[in-house]
Amino acid sequence: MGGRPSRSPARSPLPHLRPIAPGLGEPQAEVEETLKRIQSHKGVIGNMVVNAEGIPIRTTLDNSTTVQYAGLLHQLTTKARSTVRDIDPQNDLTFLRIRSKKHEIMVAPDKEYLLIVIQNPCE
Amino acid sequence: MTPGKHSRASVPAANAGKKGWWTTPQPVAIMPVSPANSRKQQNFALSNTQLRKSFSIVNPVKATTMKGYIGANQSRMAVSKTMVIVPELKMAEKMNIPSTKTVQVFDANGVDVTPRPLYHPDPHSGTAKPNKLLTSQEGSLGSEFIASYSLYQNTINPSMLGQFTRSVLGSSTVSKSSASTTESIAEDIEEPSFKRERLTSFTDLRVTKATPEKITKEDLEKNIEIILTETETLRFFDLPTVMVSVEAEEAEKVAQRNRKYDILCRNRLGNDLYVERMMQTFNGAPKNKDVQCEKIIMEDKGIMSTAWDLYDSYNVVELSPSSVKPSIIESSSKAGVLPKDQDERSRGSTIEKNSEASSLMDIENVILTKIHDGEEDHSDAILKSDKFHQDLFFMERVLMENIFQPKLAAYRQLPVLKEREPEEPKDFLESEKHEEVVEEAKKEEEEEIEIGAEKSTIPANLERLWSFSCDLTKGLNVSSLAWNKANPDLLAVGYGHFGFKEQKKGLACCWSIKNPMWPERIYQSPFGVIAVDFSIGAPNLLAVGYHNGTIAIYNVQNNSSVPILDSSYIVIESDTVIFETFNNFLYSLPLECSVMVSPSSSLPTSPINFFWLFLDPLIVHVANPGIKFTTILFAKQTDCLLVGDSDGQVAVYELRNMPTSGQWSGTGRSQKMTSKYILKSNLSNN
Repeated sequence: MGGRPSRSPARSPLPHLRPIAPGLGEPQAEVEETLKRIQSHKGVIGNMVVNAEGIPIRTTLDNSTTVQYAGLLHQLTTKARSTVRDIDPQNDLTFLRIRSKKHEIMVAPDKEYLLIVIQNPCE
Repeated sequence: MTPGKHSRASVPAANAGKKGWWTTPQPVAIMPVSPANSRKQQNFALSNTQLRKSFSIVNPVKATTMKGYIGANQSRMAVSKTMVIVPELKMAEKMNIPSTKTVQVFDANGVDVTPRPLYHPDPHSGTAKPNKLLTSQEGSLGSEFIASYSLYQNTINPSMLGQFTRSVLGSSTVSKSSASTTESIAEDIEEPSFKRERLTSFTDLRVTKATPEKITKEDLEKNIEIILTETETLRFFDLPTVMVSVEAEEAEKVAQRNRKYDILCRNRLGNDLYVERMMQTFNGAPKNKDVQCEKIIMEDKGIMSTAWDLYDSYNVVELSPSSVKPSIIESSSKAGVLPKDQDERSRGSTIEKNSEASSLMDIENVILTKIHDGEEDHSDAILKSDKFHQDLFFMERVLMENIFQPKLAAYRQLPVLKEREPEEPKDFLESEKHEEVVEEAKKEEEEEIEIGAEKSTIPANLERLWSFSCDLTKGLNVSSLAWNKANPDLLAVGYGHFGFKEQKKGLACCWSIKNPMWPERIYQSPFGVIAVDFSIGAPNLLAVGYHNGTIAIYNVQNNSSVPILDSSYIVIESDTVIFETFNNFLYSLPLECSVMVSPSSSLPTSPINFFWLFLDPLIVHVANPGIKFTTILFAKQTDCLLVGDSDGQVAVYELRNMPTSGQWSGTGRSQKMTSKYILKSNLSNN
């Protein structure tokens, strides 16, 4: 146990101690920060968030590429989800990874959006 | 013009006409010249008495081609004459009858067979304009024609209209019926005056055309009730059966009849009762009648029904109160259209109408024409949603896995499989390839053996796998490390200076093995962190000891940055910091050197108050210049070591080729040590 009597008798809450983690005050900023961080990781070519209609909400690539990826991956995700659910309707698709010779496309699908990250893992 | 002159002029014309007349081998329709007839004929410019007498039907339109164009007129008349095929009293009557009386057609027996018209124009649609046209041309047209024209305008006589309907409905597709005199006459009339009539008909139509109502947005969004009811059953086709089951009630009767018929057929030949004879029947004259209807608009709609679609539909009743929430966004300004679409899409069924992303062009058009106001709210909502956060989290982890895969695999002690040599040249033959494969396999085996032999000769070494560090932790001094008791992948790191002189802001982070580049939790504080530890009883609680003598306890399950408990009854000794954790006591030792014992030892976990020291260190790892190693921690269930330094990095080293206890021949007491290593890091010297 403690050897000597404590110097501060009162057990008051610490006034100075107000730990604030960066960016947690505003969830929007945290999201932006996370996306920026993802983009800065090794080998990441680009990332994008696309809504259910194929319109990009956030993207780091140019518009035509974004639109192309969005359209194609939306179809593929729908097909993949359909496949998973056909086998077992209680199951659902959570993540989709397409690894090709040159890079890997990772898709986090949802009913309202698609989060797509393209990475070159061999760098 | 004097009549004489006129007649002179007309003589050669008459001759010409005669010629023309005689050459055409057509029967001349000789009609009794009624007063009306003669009246009509007087309108003609021609004073050819012969012609006047012989012509039954007068084409008043020809009057336009007047005195100058005799020849043409004659040929025209000849033409018109050919048209007159069937002399029928009723036709002439039709033309001669004054306008006020309705025309009626009677056949030989006096039965009214007036053809009913196909077109009923609106009696209120006529305006003054066409009348003007009419009055200007009055002089050129025959009176009868005027009469008939005014008829059309006044729409009193529908039967007369029947003749002129074709010219009026110039744009609509009026079918051509079989050749009849009315049609032919109308055609004739139509030719030169077609344009005029067209004009009037157009103006007529233009006036009556109603402007389409403007459809407002509210109208579009209005809910329109469509009530479907069952109509009575209409029978289109009835095909009675010609076969009766053997077990039916009437089977016996039917069989009997069949037998009788058989006998009849056999007896037919040579029987007096049956005589074959031909008969001719009169077929009534068929009449074609065509009907026109408005275009029936058809719409295709398809839906693909899948197993999960049905499953969703069954469950939607249960989930309806809760599914409304995720589909309706909180900040929905234009909520009318969007949630509906989302509901449809949430079903997951691929309705053909919603086949988006079918082509690049479509998408681009959509993007270009989309209004951004409504969309921005929606996209913000997406970015703020929890699911998105989770997806980002997973995505980052996946990326980390991709980047650090070999390192993490080494950490997890996964066996390393050697990769095949990439891309041999393609002009190798199959057999050669096979041989090569066999050779390679052999080589691999040899290599492995060699490696195995080498392994025993390579001294123990540390291989650096990765290090936990980020921008936040740069420059800080790692003061303590602690594993989570429940989750072996979770590591708590405290950053803070030991000495009293320099006190920077403190930081306590929770790192996960799965993401070595960014901590899972960050707890900042103005005071330096001296010690961190996870509770055993409640593994989600993290205790953080600060330099000023206070302690804070955080719940790492949620992401809040506020401690759930803090206390300040800890004594700060000069060179030791003691703090209390749940169910366990941990003494920190003099700061000059810290010693740890590997947890895989079989020693009792009573307070450590003895050290085991090697006189000959097995591995000496020198830190980078200017950086001191400050803390050390073993990893459980794996031969890895975590070393924290004064630059804010926590490096993970894999202990390789560590000798097992059998080979070990070190000094010091050995008490059933299976794999126990003791390390000493001399902070002051490094």
